[in-house]
Amino acid sequence: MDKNSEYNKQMEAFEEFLNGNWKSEDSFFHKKIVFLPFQLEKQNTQSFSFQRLAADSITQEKKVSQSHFYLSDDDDFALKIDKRGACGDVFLMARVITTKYDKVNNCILYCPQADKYFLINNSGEIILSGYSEFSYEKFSFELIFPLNSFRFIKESENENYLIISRNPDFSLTDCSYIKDALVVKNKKFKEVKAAVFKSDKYHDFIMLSGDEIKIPKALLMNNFEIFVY
Amino acid sequence: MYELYRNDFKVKSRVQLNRFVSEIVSIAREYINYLVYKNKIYLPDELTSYDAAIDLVAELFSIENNKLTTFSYHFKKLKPKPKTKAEFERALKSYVCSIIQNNLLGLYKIYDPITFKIIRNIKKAVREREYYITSYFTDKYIHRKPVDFKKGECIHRELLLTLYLKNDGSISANVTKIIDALFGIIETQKEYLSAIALQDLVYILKELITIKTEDYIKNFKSEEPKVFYKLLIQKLRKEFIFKIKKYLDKKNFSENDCKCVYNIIEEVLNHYENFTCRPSVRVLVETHYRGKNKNSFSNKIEYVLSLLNTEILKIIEEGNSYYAEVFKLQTESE
Repeated sequence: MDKNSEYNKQMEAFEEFLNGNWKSEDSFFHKKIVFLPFQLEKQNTQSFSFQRLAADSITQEKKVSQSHFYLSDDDDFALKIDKRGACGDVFLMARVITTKYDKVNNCILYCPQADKYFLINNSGEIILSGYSEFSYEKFSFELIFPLNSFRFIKESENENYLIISRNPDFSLTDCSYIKDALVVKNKKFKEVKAAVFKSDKYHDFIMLSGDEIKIPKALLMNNFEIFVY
Repeated sequence: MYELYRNDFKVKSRVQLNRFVSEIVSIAREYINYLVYKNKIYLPDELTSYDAAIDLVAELFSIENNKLTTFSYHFKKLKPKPKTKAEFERALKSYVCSIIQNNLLGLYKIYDPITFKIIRNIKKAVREREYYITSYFTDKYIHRKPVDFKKGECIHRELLLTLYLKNDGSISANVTKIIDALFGIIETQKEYLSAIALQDLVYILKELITIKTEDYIKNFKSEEPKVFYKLLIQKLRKEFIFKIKKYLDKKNFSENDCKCVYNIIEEVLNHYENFTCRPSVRVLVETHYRGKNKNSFSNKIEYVLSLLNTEILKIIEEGNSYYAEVFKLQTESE
């Protein structure tokens, strides 16, 4: 048999995959990214990719009165916070700038100084409510990737959901209706800091208590997802 | 999972069912990533391998009397039967991969209509001509007489494309005729097998349809379609560079390799804009690439060019109903 034969190539690929010798990198489970305030005078300008920030900053809208940049250690991610609005109606809008991963909108943003988590919407925007009066330009922020996600797909013939865990080793150990909520359980939820509900119509933090997450019946749809961080 | 198999896929609890479904989706996601890694398929921007996996295996989880009937049926007729956990896991992975291969067309229908139309026309040609199809792990092979796949390898798709363009100045608008002509070429190449991998055929047809469409536009007496086409290419130039940058970042291309890719895209688009044939990938890589890993880089360029052709065909089809008619001429079998 020819060593380079099509059959041999296919068998090698088959064995490589079935034996688990090839593994893809899942960017979903990335370690957290820490953003520190960007200070121009401290930067080594030769190693710093100004082009990215410049490219983004020219897209500033007229309503933006002030912008601050924050950078990750590896320079792969940047955070831009704009002060928007005027006269008592001021709010902060942040945006993660990266070409590294498509799906940063599955992440949440954490501010250690305020011990507060923020959602990233589908357009990649983050509203930092109630922050405009603080010296937020000195704060640090963390982009937190999900520990896991659970896709809920309703079975057509009954009230049950098929629940797909992104990481099969972190599957749910219980799922039942209690009063007006669907309650899902896993011991690992005790280590979870935040849980987010996401469907076509609704996207928000959801109640996490001990080893369970309660999803109000009013939010239940045929297809939705819970992210835990 | 093994416990389920031993109980003929009778599900004891929802927890067990959910765990099993999660494992299957995980295998499917990994296989889709493997096909992308092997240059066999590409995923449109808006689709992740995880979402694709859920779509492609959803049909497997039908339950009757607490039994996962599809899995039960498959493993009942499987010979030899897996006797250990390791054997079962291999058999299960293999089954899930075969399901993905069979269902890929449905995914293209929703997310990549250009590739869907091309594969549909290939299938039609295979039926008409009663060609053979042999399925292997990462691809299906089409051949018009029995082939021993242990005796050699298939001709590389870029070489086949080059030979076709050299042999046949005029490209037929009919997919069946193009496939016939391709077989005519490979059957004279004694050092290669007389078979074409389906995904290689898709790659070649995308390129030929792009050339044919350009050719059609070039031969218009009026200048309007030519100007329209050039504008489309200029628009694509900006959009595609942005799109491909994401891919290069994800794949950790070095700065030099990125520059090479951009230069190659620029050269190919210049050819398209001027209605001339692009050089082969080998020549493009020889001209622009200075690194050591030419083979691996060539594979990546083929991937990029396949994406580029898909984008061109997409914008022509979407651009204007009149030009969509022009395009239709090339993708619908007569």
